[in-house]
Amino acid sequence: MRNNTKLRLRWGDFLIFLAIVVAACGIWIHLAMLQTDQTYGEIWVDGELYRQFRLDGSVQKTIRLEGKATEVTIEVDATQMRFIESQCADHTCEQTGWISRVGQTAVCLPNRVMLKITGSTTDADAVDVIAQ
Amino acid sequence: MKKRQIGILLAVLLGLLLAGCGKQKKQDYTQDFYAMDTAMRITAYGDRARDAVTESVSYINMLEADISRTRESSDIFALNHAEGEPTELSQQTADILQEALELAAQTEGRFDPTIAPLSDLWGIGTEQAAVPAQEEIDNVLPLVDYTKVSLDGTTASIPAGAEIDLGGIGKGYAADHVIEILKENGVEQAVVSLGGNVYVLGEKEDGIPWKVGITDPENPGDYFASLSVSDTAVVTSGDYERYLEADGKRYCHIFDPETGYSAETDLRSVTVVSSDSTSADAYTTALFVMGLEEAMAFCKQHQIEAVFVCKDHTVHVTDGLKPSFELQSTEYTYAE
Repeated sequence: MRNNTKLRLRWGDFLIFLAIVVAACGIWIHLAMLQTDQTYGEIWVDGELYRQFRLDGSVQKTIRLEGKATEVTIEVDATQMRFIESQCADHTCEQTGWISRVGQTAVCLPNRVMLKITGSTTDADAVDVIAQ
Repeated sequence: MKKRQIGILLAVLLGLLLAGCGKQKKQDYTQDFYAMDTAMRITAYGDRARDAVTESVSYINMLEADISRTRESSDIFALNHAEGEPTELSQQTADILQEALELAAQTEGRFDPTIAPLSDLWGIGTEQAAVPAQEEIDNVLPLVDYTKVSLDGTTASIPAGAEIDLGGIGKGYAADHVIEILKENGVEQAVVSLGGNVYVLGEKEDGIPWKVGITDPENPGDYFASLSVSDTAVVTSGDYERYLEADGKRYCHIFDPETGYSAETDLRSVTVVSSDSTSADAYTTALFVMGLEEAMAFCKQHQIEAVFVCKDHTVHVTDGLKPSFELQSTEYTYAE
């Protein structure tokens, strides 16, 4: 015989539903935080990471370092970085200008110093690699 | 706790577990390194990514050992210093020289692997960079002529004083072979950048292409546009890479073998998109020397897909690339 008794929600059920809502909110907040732009400026010297800065607007620095051939001067300004000066022959790195978007690089070849922008981005215009 | 509540709780936990799994991310491996006088980066995805990238780097170093102009042990150094005598090359060097000569013939010398005496005279990118006297250019120009290169099998000869420089094709050639190495190792997804010569293998994700930025000639650290592409090379040449400023003029590192001067046209950069990176590398140089009108006609004739940036900030895109091209900078105008 069919049982016509209605299923009634009990207080324990509400607790579980509450737990689901809390867990869902937690996951949503976690994912949202992951998708937030976190951009880093990195200085690499001859293939080794020399310094890393979080480009969140708080850093203002001028860095002088010895590259493989000569001295180079790098500026980190809030959300961007660049080569200011290199004692090398071609000065191509100085002509590169500011870099600030994830995936951008600037290189002083004679000194084997590379500036890189890394991190995560929600920028719809972001690219995977740049043809130079 | 009642059975029913335990059931609900288990269902929720299972749901959360499955939600957490998602699609498993492929293992990736990246190596940054310097070779061929430039900075390179290879990122490969898959179980054998590390081995594939390591083998690719070894290959590039081996190729450089063969075709470097400056290493005394290289084939090209031997050929350039043979004073016109025949020189035996490795099969690989002969192959790349053969390709260079064919591309020189196809572009009627706009790309010319014998340009070295001229580029050495100008010295752009060195401390000695200067505008040479016309007499000096006139003395050097007869040495710039790819038709005087003889290649029979693996035996080559060039006139005394002439020099071969495979730098205009070497990174493209390397990229094509790196892609082969990656594929042989089972890699299906990779991003290869050999000094800005890009090759993207496979798709970024199922149905989603890679996004390749094109350098902004006005601001070489940035990009002004992007191309959404898969399984292809994207190679760019422009007047912003290395140049000399003298007498209020900019002399770029791309030379016109006809005049002996820096190529001076209406173009600032050329980007070629092709599954063959070797020819794409040579075409960017040749198309830059041609100027927009001739270059567009050449592309149509040879089914080459390209993006041209003009000095007046207009951007011209060949028909095949229009669906994948996206202009991102308001400083440029898209010429439909």
